[in-house]
Amino acid sequence: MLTIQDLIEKMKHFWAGEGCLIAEPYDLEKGAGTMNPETFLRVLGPKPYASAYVEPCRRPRDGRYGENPQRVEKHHQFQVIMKPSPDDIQERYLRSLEAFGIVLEDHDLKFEEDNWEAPTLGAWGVGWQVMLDGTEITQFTYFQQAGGFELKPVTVEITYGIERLCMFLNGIGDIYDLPWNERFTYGDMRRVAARQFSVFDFEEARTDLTARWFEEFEAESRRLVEAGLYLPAYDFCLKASHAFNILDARGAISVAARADYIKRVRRLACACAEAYLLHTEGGKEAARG
Amino acid sequence: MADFLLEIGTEEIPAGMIRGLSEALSRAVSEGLGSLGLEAARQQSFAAPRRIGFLLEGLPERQEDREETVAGPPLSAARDASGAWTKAAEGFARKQGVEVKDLREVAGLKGPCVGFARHIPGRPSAEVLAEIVPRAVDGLHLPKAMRWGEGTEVFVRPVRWVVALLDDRVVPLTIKGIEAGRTSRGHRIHANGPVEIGRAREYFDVLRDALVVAESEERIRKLEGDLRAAAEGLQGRLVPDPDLVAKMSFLCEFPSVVSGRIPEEFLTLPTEVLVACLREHQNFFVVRDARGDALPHFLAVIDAPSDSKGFIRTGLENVSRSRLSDARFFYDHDARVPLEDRLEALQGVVFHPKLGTYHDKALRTETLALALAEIVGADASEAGWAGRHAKCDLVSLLVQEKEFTALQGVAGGLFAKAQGRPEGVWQAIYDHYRPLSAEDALPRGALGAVVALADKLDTLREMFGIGQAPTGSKDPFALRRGAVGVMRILCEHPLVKPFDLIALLDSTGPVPEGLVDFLEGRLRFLWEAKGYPYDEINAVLEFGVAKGASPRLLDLKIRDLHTVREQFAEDFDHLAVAFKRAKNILKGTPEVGLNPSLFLPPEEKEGAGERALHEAVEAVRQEALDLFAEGRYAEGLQRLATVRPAVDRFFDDVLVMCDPEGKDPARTALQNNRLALLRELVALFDRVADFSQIVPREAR
Repeated sequence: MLTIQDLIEKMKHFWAGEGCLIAEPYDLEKGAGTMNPETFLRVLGPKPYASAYVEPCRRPRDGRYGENPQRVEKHHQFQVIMKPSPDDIQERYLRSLEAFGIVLEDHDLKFEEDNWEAPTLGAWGVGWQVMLDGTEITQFTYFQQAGGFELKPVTVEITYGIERLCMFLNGIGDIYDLPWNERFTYGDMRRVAARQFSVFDFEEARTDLTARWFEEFEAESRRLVEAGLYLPAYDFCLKASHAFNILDARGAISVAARADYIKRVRRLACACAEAYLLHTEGGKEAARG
Repeated sequence: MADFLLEIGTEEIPAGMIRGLSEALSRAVSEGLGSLGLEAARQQSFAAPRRIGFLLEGLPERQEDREETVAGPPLSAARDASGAWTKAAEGFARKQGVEVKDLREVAGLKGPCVGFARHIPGRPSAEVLAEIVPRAVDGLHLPKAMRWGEGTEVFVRPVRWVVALLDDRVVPLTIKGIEAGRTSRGHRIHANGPVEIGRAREYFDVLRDALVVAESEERIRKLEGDLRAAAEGLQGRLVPDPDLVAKMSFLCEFPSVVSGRIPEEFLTLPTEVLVACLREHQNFFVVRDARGDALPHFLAVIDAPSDSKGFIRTGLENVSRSRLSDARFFYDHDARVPLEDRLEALQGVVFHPKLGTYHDKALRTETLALALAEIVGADASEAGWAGRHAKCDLVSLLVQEKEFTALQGVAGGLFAKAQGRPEGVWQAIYDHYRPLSAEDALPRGALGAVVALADKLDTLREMFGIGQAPTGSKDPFALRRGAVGVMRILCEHPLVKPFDLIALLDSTGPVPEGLVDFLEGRLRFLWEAKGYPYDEINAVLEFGVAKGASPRLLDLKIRDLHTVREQFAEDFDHLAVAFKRAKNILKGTPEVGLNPSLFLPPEEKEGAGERALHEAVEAVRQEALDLFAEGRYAEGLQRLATVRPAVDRFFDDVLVMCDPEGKDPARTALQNNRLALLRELVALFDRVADFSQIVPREAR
């Protein structure tokens, strides 16, 4: 048996050994580890960088009131970024799976095309979903663009779904049965929250308030980026993005309005990215393309 | 002679791009070599997830030597009076680095010149390859380009190694920053590590030993064989699915097949849902019995020589169970919601921003279905109901899931079936997207035809109405496919009798500009695909859809015209020429009725000609018209073809325009009467096609 916390320890240990700085989650709501400034901003500019961290991710629309064995409103990603991408990055990744206890010779592993795009971040990349015996365990992406800027050197991003991988490793079909440690299950830790946040996201969240917050977060982000405070500005960009996700889950956004919201969040993210580059060594050239 | 091997080793290239890239690369290199006088006896390209390349067998070791003539100053300046070389000639020799004794007279552009023959030794093939191959790689069109590492190189996925061997020697070349060597790599997992290639031609065998089947056709054959054997082993069979076979063969270096069990409780799902779930989500093949129903087995393609410990099978079964549970949940939930209860929800689904919602579309489709039911002779209330509810599955949980969107229509039909709707009704909803191509099956039954037509005609009408006609390669609403579907149902559906399409459209709403021509254009497309010559198509479409003709009759006309023309090619060519003349003569002339008493006496040559033609036409007219009225165009045309000698004789012997200036009233009457005779003849043939558009065979 491999517990969630054991798996996370092994992940951190392995990638620290590959030269990654082990960072901590960012303390704001977000939909993916990519949105942590540790990834979104660090991939910009010429300076080499490598880090790895756990990121709790909230996706209000995926909430299932704690009743679906596969889908949850909040899950955990283990995020690895390396800039520039090493030539043997795929081999390193496969070694990481072995380090978690997977004997690759006994399994079927495929890299299937899956190009990643985050319209709210002005970001896209090229890569694969890694399928292990038919289960998607990892997203593997070469970042091509972020915040609207071409990336050179190129960062590789490896995103493991921690719960997914742990279920695979233990042959467990229900996420809530996963062992968090020897005494507590995932259900012990997360079921109540899963229920409450589903009720909140789908029923209780006040759409008028959330829509107003979106406007305010957006305005604040723009004000701060003009003041050169791109890090606080990015925080408000993340808050706006999460407000949008809640409105979306509440069904309060029409198809046409949806595109407009996405465009507005992207503008904030791109402005933060530009300000970051202008304040970073060697970044001005990158900002000019 | 030598063999040349090129292998570009990459990270996993997207399955859909591998073969195209490999073939384009082979082509570019062999063209490059050909232009430099190097041609291989045989070329074999290969394409696998982590490698593309080719083996050239029987390539010359070097280019052949050749002579090149270099011309200098004209002879007048290069020789003096005595015939000796002048200073100018000597200067030319010095500059070119040749001895004066090598100079001779050569032909220049403006006359004889001094010159010499330069011997150009052929270059070794290795040298030529080192130049051409990297250029060919850089020139490849990449469907989706990317950068990696420092970001300086661009390719479809990162290049990690290159093998370039001329027999057993490495050809020194560099591709995307990687120097070529002789070290390839074995299977990603099951023979991981370097693989030395000793000689170019050993490549395929060496790789196979390292569990990589490099050649795509070989992988596909292996996979097809393994799938067939596995299905037979389970006393079942597979519905051919070449797209999935190809996809999987490009996701594997060494494909094999494992089978897994589908838990019995999921076999009560409709086969369509079961198959879509396992195919779209997991790339599984579902094994079927002789009736086409699902057996409790799936086949999966793995990139491994075998599943000796059974771990893979267990993993696949676990994933499929959770996917099938989702499908079960969606289907059971959806089947319980009556389709009519979903109609309201269609108001929330936008059909097109300018055209409102699917709810609006449902009501329009119902109107069209009612009108069509009357024409086709289908039950009006059933047609209306099916038309109104055909799109209700769009708001079902099932169809809203990504992997089941392709089941729209089918899903609605299944729900209607589960809810006890009559067979004709649920089948009409099930089939209403059909036919999806020029080959796809037609919708079943009269109701099926009615609803499929109503849905497609509505979309076409509305999209044309807001100026969304397809342009060039842009056809986001698949209007071409929709129009082909309409034409195929109208032409081929056994329960749809000929009717006036324009009248139907007219009576149910506006007919936007360009729509009818577009529909007719699709009919032309279908005919061209069937191989009908363009002149026959033009001839039939002269009286086409735009003029109110029913597509079904047009389809019969082209078929019969083509058949009869094949039988009576010579007569047709003659008639075509005669008709062109007749039409030219008739242009702008007054329409006067035929009066046989005005024919000249039979003793006169002209009179005999007039009378012969009139008799020939009268002899076949009624019979031909009756045959045409029954749609028996071939037989009617065969009768009409008998007038050819009389037509020839008429044009030989009779001067039609005998009073072009209109000076003599008697002759004017004669002329008008002859025109009337021609007009009758032409009108008779026009019932089928405009024969003046037929291009005689010799002229083509």
